[in-house]
Amino acid sequence: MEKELNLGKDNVIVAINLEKSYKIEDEVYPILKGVNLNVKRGELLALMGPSGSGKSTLLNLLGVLDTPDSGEYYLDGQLVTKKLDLAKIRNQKVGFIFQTFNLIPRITIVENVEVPMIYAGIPLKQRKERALLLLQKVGLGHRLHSQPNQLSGGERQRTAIARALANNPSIIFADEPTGNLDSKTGNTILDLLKDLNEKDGVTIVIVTHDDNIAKMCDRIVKIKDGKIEA
Amino acid sequence: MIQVIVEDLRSAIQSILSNKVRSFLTMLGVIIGVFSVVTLISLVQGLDKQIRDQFSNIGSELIFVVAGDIESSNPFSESSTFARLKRTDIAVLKSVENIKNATPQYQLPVKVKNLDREQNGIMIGIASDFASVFSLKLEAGEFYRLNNEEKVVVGFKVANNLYGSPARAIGQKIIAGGKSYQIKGVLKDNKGKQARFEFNDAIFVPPLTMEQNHDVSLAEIVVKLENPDLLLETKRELSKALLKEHGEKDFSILTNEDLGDILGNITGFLSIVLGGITSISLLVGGIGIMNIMLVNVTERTKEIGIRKALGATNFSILTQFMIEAVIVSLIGGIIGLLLGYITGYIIDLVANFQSSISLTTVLLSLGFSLLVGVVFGIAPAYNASKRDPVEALRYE
Repeated sequence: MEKELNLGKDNVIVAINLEKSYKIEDEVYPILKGVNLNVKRGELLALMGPSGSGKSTLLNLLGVLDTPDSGEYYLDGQLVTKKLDLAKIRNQKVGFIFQTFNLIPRITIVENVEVPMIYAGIPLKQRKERALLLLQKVGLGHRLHSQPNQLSGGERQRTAIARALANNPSIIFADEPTGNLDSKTGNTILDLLKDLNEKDGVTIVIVTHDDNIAKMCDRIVKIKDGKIEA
Repeated sequence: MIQVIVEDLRSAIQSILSNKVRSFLTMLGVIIGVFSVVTLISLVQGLDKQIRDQFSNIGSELIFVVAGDIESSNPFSESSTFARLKRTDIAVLKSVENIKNATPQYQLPVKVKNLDREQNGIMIGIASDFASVFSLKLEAGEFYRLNNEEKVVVGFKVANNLYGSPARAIGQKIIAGGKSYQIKGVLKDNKGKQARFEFNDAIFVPPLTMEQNHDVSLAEIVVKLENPDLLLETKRELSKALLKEHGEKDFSILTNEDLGDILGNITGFLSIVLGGITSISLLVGGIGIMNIMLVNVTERTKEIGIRKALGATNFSILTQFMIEAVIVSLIGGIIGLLLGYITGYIIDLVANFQSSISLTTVLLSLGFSLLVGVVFGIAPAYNASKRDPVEALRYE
């Protein structure tokens, strides 16, 4: 089985027949109806789909924020189940970039980048060094001690990218990363992501409904009515 | 783990500082609670210390024999209420070894007057060689010598009120409780000093004279020891001798320490009752903390979601909010303690009092504020830790 699916070696993500439904007032709404998906290591993948297609729910499962009702999900070769320490898996293997940036207010951007490393138990000095390095890498070396509300949208998203890279994750999920940015700023963010993918080999899944963004990715996966379209 | 707790501390302080007014108002309940507990307890403890000091001044060569078994568990038992000492008890007590002398001591509230003025006073019948029992010092004249002469020593205020000055009172006639006496001495002014009686209004009379002239019952006998080192042994012997005479324990034998202890019990009881009542304000303070922490958790739902997405476990979210509640409460406790200390200091200056804040009070009040933080912080923190990351991230 392991050999067949090539779990973990070439494929960062192997999702087999994932199902998820929500129950609202005794009524069951199936959202994902058997999703199969592989993401290769080093791939830049676009996940597309209209709203209500189950895109966000799939992203929650793949990002280990939630677990499927049935089906198997292997992240980096490891079967993800409820019994595992999901917080630790998120911390070690997953990086998130959100449409609304989701930085923690009232702390500096260095401190924001440090947060995942704090939960990983990395000592202060190493944390600071790495946060600095990452912020320089995304071009924010000059704004280290600003707080998120002092930054432009593009700068906030750069901070979020640096934060997503903090613990060297196996995969980064970018959920509409340019959705709150003007097209020029959006393009620089996309360039940054593409750069990370090409030069550093970071595996990235970008959720978008913008065809132009999708076209620059290695592969496009479309989801509709809770299923991956062929 | 340590990294996370350090981060929690930092985050808690940041959160407290970022909303100073709210944090202060949250603390206020604990501040007031700890302040009132500390102030009251320090005053009661000061009172306790003062009482004990006073009794240790009486001198360890004295033993007091009083009617009623006040050391027993029930101080209001029948034997206590109606028990009386007998005059023959004095001879019994005197026969015990190591006893130098024994005197009856009588007390009677009386009207004190001369030809044109009168006031309320207290008549105390006691042998002259026991004047030291009350640390009595004379302003003018001298103490009576015999136990049956019709001469008295009056308090400073009595002399002033009735005769204008202590010196003028000497040798004058005074009518107390309907009997006429000659004033032989006047006591020094006792104003402002704590004492077993208001000596300024007292009139000291030889004990035998008091027995003959006034309707009094014997409630207390004071015994003076030859050798104060044998205090406890002598106390035991006195008890044995009197028990044999009375056939039941309807009396108490007290040293100055015992007297201090009895009053100490009262102050101890006072501090428990007052401390208990004021602790209610601490409870209210705790509820204030819980309320604000619940608001805090709701307001920061998004932050909880972000932290969880970045790898925070439920436990680290729990500790984050817990530590915040504890710090708010503890800072409130420290401020309350300082305010209590300052208040005690001011009272001491103004009222010539010696309040006392013991280490126990300090530790107890800090411990209590810590406990308040933990108890009232745990529900909001638990609430925060259980937030579903997906829901929390979606929260706006």
